[in-house]
Amino acid sequence: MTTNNPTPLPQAIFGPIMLITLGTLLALDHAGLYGFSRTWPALLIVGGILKLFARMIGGTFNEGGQS
Amino acid sequence: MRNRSLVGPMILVLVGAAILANNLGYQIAIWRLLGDYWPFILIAWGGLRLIEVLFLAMRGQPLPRAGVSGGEWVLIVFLCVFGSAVFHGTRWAASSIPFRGFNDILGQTYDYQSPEQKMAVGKTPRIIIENLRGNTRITGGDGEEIVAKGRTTIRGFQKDEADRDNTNAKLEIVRQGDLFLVRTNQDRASNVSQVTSDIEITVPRGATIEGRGRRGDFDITQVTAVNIDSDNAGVRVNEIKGSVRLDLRRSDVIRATAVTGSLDVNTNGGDVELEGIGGSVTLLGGYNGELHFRKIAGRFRYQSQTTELTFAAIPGQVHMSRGNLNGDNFTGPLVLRTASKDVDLSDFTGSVQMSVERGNVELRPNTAQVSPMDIKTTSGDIKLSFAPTAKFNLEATSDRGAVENDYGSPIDTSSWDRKKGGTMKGTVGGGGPIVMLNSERGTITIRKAVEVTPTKL
Repeated sequence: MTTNNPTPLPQAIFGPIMLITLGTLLALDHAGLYGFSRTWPALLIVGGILKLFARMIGGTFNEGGQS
Repeated sequence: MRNRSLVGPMILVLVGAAILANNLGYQIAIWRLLGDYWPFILIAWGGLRLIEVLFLAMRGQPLPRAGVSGGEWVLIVFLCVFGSAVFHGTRWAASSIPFRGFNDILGQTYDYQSPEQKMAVGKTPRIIIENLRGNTRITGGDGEEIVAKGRTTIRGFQKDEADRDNTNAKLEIVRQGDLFLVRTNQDRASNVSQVTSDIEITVPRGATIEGRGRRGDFDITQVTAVNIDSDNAGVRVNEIKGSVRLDLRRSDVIRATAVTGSLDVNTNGGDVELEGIGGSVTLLGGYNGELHFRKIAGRFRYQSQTTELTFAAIPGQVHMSRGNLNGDNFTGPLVLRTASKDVDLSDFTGSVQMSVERGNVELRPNTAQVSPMDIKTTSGDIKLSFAPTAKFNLEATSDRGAVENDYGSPIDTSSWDRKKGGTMKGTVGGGGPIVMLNSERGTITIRKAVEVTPTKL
């Protein structure tokens, strides 16, 4: 991976992964397995994990860029 | 290296292909498929974006600021709203109208014969028929037992699955206290929407029938009373000794002949044909087809959102459709309130009270014995023809329309004025009941009937 990238990878994949999660939850809802009204917090969890991930990796990237 | 434009064209191609297939006659349930599977569009969309980002990252190229752009999120929100609407729409439709679902395209049809069921029930049993999907034919006979047999059609993918459904959804007669229950148990099958049972039942003539279903026609002959509750059913009843009551959310056709008792119908229906009803007739709801009423001995009442109609009896016939009401040989008091109908009635006795917003009214009582009449129209014309020997007092006013007197001298006609309209007044044959005619913009015409012999429609 390149270090001169202006956008860190976790930030770029945040949207797509959230979208996939949303689609999965809605598909589960429509299949009658788990209602979206009950499963939506999974979006928060996935979003939170991605942000944590971004801070961990993004932090090293930033430090690398600053030094 | 941009595949940003990939998702849009793909959706277009898929939707286009589905609609084209449907138009060419392949019964693909587009909306059902779209409603059920649209979330996978989101997943595919996210997947494509993810692949794009990873691809760029692997080749060491600069990554986009956001994997999914703001504009795309707006589109996604629209897609979610639309997809959910379609999903819930098709669910609703599937519960209320026949829906050609997934199994119709890919599945197969398996037919089963239900073994004949019998139970001794006495002369006058109360019988409840529970057949959610499928047609039911009930015939009264001389016996004192219920005999039921039927055919079950199951749509599915696998034979063993269909076999299992058929075993679960078996036709049975159950005694519950003094009730007898004939049911097809379709709710026990794995997928209710795929099981259809057409059943034929013979019952004692004295039986009282209560039918319950979601979709399927009822054809009932020679029993004592009928009571049907269904989401969607065409109903034919014939030779019923007692009363008939139909509560149907929808109904394409209702035909009742030779009912000794009363008939009550509440539905959103199409065609209705009633002949030979001994008791009163009540039709509530909405009807958008052709309605024929013949030989109704009891009081007749019809009420929909736009039309209210009552007769004391219809010895002859009355025909009604969305834009017309025709009839001859009936008994008043006739009450009609309607937004829009052309009315043409002849050979009747009894009083008339009528209020028609749009539509012309033409009445030919054809009797010397005139009854009180009160007729109002907004924009339609009123034409009345009386027998030469009729006795009545006329008061006719058209606020802005013309008045025409073809009857003759006993009636005074005011000179017509565009602003004041016209009036007619007169005492005919020495006077009698009051005939009041009023129109806002229509022309009022009074005629002397040339022939006294009834003119058939």
